[in-house]
Amino acid sequence: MDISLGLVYAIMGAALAVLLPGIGSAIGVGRAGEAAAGVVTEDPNKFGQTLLLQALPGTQGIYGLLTGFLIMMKTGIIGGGLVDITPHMGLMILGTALPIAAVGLLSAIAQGKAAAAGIGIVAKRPEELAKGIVYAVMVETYAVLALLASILMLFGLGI
Amino acid sequence: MAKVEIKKLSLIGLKSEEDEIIKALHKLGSVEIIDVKSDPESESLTKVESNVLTEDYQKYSTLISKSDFTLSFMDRVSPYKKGLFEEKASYTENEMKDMLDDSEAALVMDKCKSLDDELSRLKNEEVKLTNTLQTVEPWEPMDIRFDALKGTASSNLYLGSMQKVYYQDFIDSLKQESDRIYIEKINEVKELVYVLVMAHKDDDGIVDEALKNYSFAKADTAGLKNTPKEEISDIQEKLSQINQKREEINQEVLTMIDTRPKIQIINDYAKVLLDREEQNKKLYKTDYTFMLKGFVPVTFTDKVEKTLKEMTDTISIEFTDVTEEDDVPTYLENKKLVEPFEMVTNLYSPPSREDLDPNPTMAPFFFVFFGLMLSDAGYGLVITLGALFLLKKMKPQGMMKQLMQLMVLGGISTIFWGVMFGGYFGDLLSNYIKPIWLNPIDDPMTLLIFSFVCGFIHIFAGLGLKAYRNIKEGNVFAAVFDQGFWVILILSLVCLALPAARPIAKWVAIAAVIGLVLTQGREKAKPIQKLFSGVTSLYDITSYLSDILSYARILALGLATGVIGMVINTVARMLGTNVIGYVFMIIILIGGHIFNIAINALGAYVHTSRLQYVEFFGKFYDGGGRLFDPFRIKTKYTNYKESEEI
Repeated sequence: MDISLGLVYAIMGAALAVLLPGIGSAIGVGRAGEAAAGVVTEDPNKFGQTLLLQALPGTQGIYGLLTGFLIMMKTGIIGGGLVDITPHMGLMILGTALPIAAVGLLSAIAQGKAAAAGIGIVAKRPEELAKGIVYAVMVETYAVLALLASILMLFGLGI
Repeated sequence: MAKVEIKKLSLIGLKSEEDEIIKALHKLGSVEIIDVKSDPESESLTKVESNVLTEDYQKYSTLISKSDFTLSFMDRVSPYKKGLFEEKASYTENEMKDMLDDSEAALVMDKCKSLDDELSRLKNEEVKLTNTLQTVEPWEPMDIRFDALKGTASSNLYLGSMQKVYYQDFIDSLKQESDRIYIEKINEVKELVYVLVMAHKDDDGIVDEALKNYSFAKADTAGLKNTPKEEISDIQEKLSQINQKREEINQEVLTMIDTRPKIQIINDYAKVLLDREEQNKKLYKTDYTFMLKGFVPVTFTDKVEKTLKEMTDTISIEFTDVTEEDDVPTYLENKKLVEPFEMVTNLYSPPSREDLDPNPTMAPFFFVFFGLMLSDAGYGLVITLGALFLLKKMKPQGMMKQLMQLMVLGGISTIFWGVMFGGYFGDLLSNYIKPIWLNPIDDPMTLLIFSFVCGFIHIFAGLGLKAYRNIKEGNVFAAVFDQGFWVILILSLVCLALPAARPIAKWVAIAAVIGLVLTQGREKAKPIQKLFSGVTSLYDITSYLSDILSYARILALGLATGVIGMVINTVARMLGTNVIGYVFMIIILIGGHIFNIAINALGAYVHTSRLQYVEFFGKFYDGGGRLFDPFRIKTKYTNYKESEEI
C-alpha cells in the first residue's frame, strides 16, 4: 500500500497533539503533587482537597489526546480505511494540531505552578479552596481556547 | 426568600435559670451568641466578669482530653474503620448523659492511660538494652567475664576501640617504649578494632599518652558482669520479653475495643457540655441576673421567644434591629432546589451585608452549564443515581450534603443535554438513538454560537442584578448609565451581525457609545477629565468581549466528554474480536467511562464555577460576608437526637 506524504504530515500532527500537552500535564501534575504531598505530611485530612487541585493541570494531556484521536479518526488511521491525503492537506492537518500542542504544553506547566500555589492556600486556609481552584482554572482557559481552535479547524477542513 | 433579615436578641434572665436557658438555646440552634464584651451597645457596662474557669469547665476539659487520648490510643492499636456507607448512631441527651457515669468506660480510659505508660516504659527499656547490646556485641570473641577484667596490684587494664588504620602504629609505638605491655586484638568491625591492653603500672604515663594519641575510645563496661556471650544472650532474652509484653498489651487493648462507641459518646457529649460552659464567658452578670446578646434570623425569632417563654416567666426577651456597628452574619434561606447551589457561592465568599443573594439567579445557569459541559445522558444517569445512593446511605451533613444534591441536579441537567445531543456513554448508542437537537461533532459552530448566547444572557443577568442593587440603593442614574448603556451597546453590536437589523443597530450603537462617553466621567471634576474618563471607559468593551469568548469552554468541554467517550468505545470495539477480547472490551468500557465521568465531572464543576465566579459575580457581587454560625450541638462521632419527651 502506498503511504502518501500527506498522511505522514497528518500522523506527525496527531503525534505532536498527544505528546506535547502530555509532557506539559505530566510536569504540571507532578509539580502540584509535590506541593500536595508536603501539605498532606502535615495534615493527612487534606488529601481530597489537594487531589482536586492536583488533577487540574492534567486536562491538557486529555485535550491533546482528544485532538490526536480526532486526527487519527479523520485520516482513517483508526477505524480502518486510510484516507488519501495530499501533502497540502497533510500540512494543514499538522497545522490544526499546533494550537493545542504548544498551548497545551506550556499552559499545563504554568497551571501546575498555579495549582501548587493553590495547594499552599489549602495548607493554611482550607476554607479558601475555591479561590485556589479559580486561580488555576484561569490558566486553563487558554488551553480550552486552543483546543477549540484546533477542533474547529479540523472540522473545517472537511475530510 | 434569599437573604433573611437578622435581629439582635437581648435576653435578661435569672442566674439560677441560666444553665437551663443556655441548654434550651443550644438545642434550638437558632441563636448566634455574641460576647457582651465585644458588643458595641454594651460598652457602658463595665462590670463584666472576666469569668473564672468553673469546676464543670475543668471537669469537661479533662474528660475530653482523656477520651481523645483513649480514642487515639485505640486507633493506634486497631485503626477505627468507619464503613464507607456507615451512618452515625443517634442518641438522645439522656442516653449520652448516662454514658458520662458509665463505670466500664471510665475504667477503660484509666486502663488505656496506664497501658500507654507501660508501653512508653517498655520503649525506654528497649532503647537502653539496644544501646548496651551495641556496646557488648564487638567483644563477643573474648571469653572472659567482664567483672574479671580488672587491673591487678601492679598492672592496669584497658578495654576499648580505635581506628583500624592506627592500630599497627599504636603497637609499634608502645613496643618501642616498653616490653611490659600486652596488647590483644579482640575483634574487628568495619573500620574499628577492639583492643585489650594490659600494662605495668610504672608504664602508665606512656600508655595514657599513646592511647590519647591514637584516639583510643574506652569501652563503657559499667554494670556488665558475665562474659560477652552470656551478656548478649541475656539482653536478647530481655528484648524478646519486651516484645512479648507489648503483644500482650495489644491483646488487652483489643479486648477493650468494644467500648470505643461508648468513649466516642463521652467525647462528643463532653464537648457539647464544654460548649455550653464556654457561653458563660460571653454573658454579662450581676449578682442575681445575667444578660445574653445574640443574632437571630427573623424567621426564628418567634420560635426562640416561644420556647423560652414556655420555660419560665422570669425572663425578658427583646429583639431589636441591628445597627451599623454590629458585625452581622449572613443567613440565607432559599427554595429547596436553589439551596444546594449556596455551596458554590459560599466557596467563593458568602454575601456581605450589602450584597444581594446571588443564588436564586445563579442556580439555573449553573444547572444548565454543568449539563452542557458533560452532555451525556448515560453519564448523567450514573451521576444522579450515584449521588442519590450516597445521600440515602451516608446521610451526609452540611456542605457534603449540598454537594451531593448539587450532583443530583447536575446529573439531571446532564441527562437532558445528553438526550438533546445524542450522547449515551460517548457514541455507544448513536446508531440507535438520534440526537433530538444536533450532534456537536457534526455541527460545532451552532453549538459555539449557542454557548455565546448563553454567555450573553448570563452576563446580562449579572448586569441586571447590579442595576437592581443600584436602584435599591437609590442610584437610579448609575443603573441607567453604567449597566443600561452597556447592555444597549452590546446588544446593538450583536445585532450588527444580522443584515436586517443593521441600519437601526448602527445608530443605536453610536447613541450608546455617546451616552457612555458623556456619563462615565461624571464623578470627575473638570470637563476635560470627564471626557477623558468617558472615552477610556469604552476600553471596557475588551473585557466584555473576553467574557463572552470565555463561554466557548462550554462547547470545548462538551466536545471533550463526547470525543473521549468515543475514543473509549473505539478502542473497546477494536478488541472485541474473540472471547478474551470481549473480556478486555468490557473492562475497558467500564473503566474508561468511569474515568471519563470522573475527570469530566470535575472539569464541568470547576469550569461552571469559574463562569459564575469570574464572569458573573464580577459584574455585581462583592462577597466577604460571614455565615450565620448559631450556637448549636456539634458532634463528631454520633448524631444528636431530640428526646421524645420534649
